[in-house]
Amino acid sequence: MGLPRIAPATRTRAELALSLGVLGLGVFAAVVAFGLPEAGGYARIGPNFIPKVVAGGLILLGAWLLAELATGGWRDRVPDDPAERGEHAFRAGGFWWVTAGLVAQMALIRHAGFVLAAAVLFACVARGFGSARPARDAAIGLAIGLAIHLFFVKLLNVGLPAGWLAPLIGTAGL
Amino acid sequence: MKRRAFTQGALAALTAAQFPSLARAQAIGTLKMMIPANPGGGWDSTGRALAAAMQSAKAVGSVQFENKGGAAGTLGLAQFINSAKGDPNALMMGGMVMVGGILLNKSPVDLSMVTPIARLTSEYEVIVVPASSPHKTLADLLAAYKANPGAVSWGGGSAGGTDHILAGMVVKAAGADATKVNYVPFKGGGEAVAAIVGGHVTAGVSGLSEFSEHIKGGRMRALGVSAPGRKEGILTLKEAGVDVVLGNWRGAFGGPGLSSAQRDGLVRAVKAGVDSPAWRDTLVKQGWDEAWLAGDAYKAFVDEDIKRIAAILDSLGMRK
Amino acid sequence: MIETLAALAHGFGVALQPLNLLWGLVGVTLGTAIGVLPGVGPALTVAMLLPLTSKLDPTGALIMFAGIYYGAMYGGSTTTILLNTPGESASIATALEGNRMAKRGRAGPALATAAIGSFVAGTLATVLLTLLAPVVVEVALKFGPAEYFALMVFAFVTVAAVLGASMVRGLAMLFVGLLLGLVGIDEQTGQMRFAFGVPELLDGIDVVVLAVGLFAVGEALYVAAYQSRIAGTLERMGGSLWMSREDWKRSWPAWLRATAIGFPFGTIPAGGAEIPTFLSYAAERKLSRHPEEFGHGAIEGVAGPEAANNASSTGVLVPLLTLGIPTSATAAILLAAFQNYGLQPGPLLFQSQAALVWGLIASLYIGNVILLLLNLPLIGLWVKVLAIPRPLLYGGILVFATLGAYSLHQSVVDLVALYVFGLLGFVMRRWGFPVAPAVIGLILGPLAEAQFRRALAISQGDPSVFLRQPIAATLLALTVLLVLVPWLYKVVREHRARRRPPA
Repeated sequence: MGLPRIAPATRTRAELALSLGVLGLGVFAAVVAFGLPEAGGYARIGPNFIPKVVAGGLILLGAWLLAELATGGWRDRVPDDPAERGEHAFRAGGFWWVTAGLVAQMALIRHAGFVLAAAVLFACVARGFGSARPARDAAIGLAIGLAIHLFFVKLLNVGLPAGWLAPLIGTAGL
Repeated sequence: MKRRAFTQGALAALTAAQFPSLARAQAIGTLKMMIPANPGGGWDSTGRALAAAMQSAKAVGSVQFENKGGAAGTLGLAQFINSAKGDPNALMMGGMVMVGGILLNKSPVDLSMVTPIARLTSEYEVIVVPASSPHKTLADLLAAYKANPGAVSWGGGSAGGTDHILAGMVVKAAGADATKVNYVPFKGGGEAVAAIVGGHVTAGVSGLSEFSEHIKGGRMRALGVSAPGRKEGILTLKEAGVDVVLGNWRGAFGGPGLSSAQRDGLVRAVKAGVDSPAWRDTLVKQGWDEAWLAGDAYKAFVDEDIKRIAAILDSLGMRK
Repeated sequence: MIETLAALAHGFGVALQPLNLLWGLVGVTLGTAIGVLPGVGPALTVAMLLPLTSKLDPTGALIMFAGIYYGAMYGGSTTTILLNTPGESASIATALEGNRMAKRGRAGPALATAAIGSFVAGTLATVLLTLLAPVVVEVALKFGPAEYFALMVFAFVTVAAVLGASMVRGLAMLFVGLLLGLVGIDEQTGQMRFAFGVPELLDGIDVVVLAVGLFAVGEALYVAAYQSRIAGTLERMGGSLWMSREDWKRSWPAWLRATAIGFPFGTIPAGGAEIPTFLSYAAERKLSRHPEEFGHGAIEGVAGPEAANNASSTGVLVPLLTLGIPTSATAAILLAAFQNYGLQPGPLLFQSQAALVWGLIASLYIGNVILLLLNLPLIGLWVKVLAIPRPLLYGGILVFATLGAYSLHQSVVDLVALYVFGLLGFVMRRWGFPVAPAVIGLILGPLAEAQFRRALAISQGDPSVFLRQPIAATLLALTVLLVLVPWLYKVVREHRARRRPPA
């Protein structure tokens, strides 16, 4: 498509990083597992037994992935050319707008409340998927958030943070 | 009558001055109730029933619930400590399970950071064996334990929880080594019941209400209850030969840094709820034992309970 | 037998009273609504409605609760199929093929096979409940930790069905799931593992957060990055709304097999609702005449798990009604509802409250019919959800996904976890790692470990316990056969092929 095909070197680097990631996760799990107490009481195996098994498995699988890489790359891999996958090249905008929405929601939910956080999330995600009408998107997000809030808080009496809108929408059930 | 006299304390006057129109009838406009467990469990049903009773007694107007479950209630506790500082309209449910959870999880927050308001209910534990068990009495079971502690498996709730603690206390009181208890924790009451009824463990420990019907139905044999007096005709542990009393209590706490006036305001509001017919009704329906204890006496009780539970967890080898 | 039928007929008399029918309808409608919403499960709803019981007569209230229970079990499949956001763990298996079908414009048949499958399995399971409850429960009680562990080992073979193109990458994801399952307080000793002092991690990682993170958030990130500028990837109304003859032919055996898997699993006290759905998925994949369609929206892969899910939720009523043992959160709440009326489920209930019990069982039959009648016409409406422009559709998906995660602990930590799993899902998809094994690892790992160590504690460290118990030994032998036979078959065939070179 628009961008050149991913160079084989890029793919090799990614596969190397992911193989090492699995291996590293195994090593990390092993370090933690060996720090856990042995004592298992009557079962004879303690809280460290299964973690060691899992760590061993991850190390083995990481090594296997590395071996595949060393012998010509991973088997049955996903095609590198986006066109072959029926997709377009990586669009940073899409990825980062969705990320921004989720991060904004984490930051806002406690203080600004669920409804406003949902509106911001909705608008950001819609932007990431190519919408050019942020005001409309935010309004829809606000309406959805409000409907959820009313259902949860008023009807079921289960708490969701009301935040800055508390004076308008209330915090207690009916 | 008594309650009215109680309500007419100096603080009621102060509250009444703040909300002249609500004078005494409704001391708290919106009560914020933190339930440190997910909806549906014991703290949730206690908290919601208490709130409803307080509303019926007109001690509070509306109630705003927040459920924050997890880690034996310590997640909710941490949040409550942050959000309810000096708030005279906030309550949190708690109980013995939280005491154990704080000790086991090495929680950075603990119950000394909040203000004890009142103990509400207490549930007693029962020790059972499957109906087909050769052990007829608690003495039989403990004799088997002393002969071969590993061969006696005790099924109950989570490790270090109320059930585990009782098993440890009983064994210790019988003069045996509590570190050798072969305790098998199960998730949820149903699984433990099935394991006991199915004969997969030697003995079972749980709240009486969880086992009560299975005892009546003849699938389990009760060996003793941890109450000070007999319950449902079951011998007390003391009568069965070990001097142990253990109540799984539930109570209410106020936020950190309340003035004694603010604390007394909450005690009064809770007391009004507890005296209402709605609360009586709930106690009967749920089969809860009332265990009212308020203010300083309650605080002293909580402090004492923390020490007692810490000691028993140590002797079970649970605190490392 | 005759008495049973007479009692049941009487039960229908009770349940078919107009007022009770109305309560059933209210329950099913409410249940479907909350099933569609993530973050509110049937347990929560029934708990919130418990105070109502003081105003209703017991029969009406229990019929309504049964309706909620079924409705919620089914409602979860709708969001799963349409939006790829499984609201509860029993719907995760449905997501695997269900959402792929929706993507290919076959949301209508997917929803229909889920609805009809739920009806068929729910009804058959209720028949089994009616006739066999007392017998089945005695077998269920024979399951102790050793038997459960053997069952978990057996369930691990289901992973083979979802490993994807590369075995090593599939297994790597399984082990990632197992590792995630270790996070939190060790149930047997109270020891903290992999929690690093984060209190939110002490109770472990919730499977819904992992599944919604990997499936829904991961997909949103991926589609935004690689597909958002391609018009019409969602084939909106492409295919027919209704199931074709071929769909029927492929669905009904799956429904029956799923009932046979789901019902017994529901009856055993620690069976859980997820495992039968994955077992059913694996069985369908293995037995299908169209294995190549799996991973791209095979209808059997929806029909099976959805039916298994409903059959097991009916099975859960066996230990509840006959012994008073609640084996799921919802069953525990139903038990509380019984107790609110001073009724105690158990063998005595069938005698002392026959009208009520048989009224409830009859209302299960009726509830299933209402569920079907309510949901089939709604399918046309639901499918329109997919016609929503993608920017708004994914905005809504993420609002619901985050709502489900946040309402677990009312904690931002779960939102962070959701995003981290979303990133993981994004990377996995780009580099060809299957995500389902991670979910299976997280579900099965902790269960298997707990039962393994419980069994060893009871046997005082003697591992032969797994071979001495007949049920456990049989299950383990079956697992070995299931793994070895296809492998041996392949080896022998290759060997023969080598000895007889092509002429």
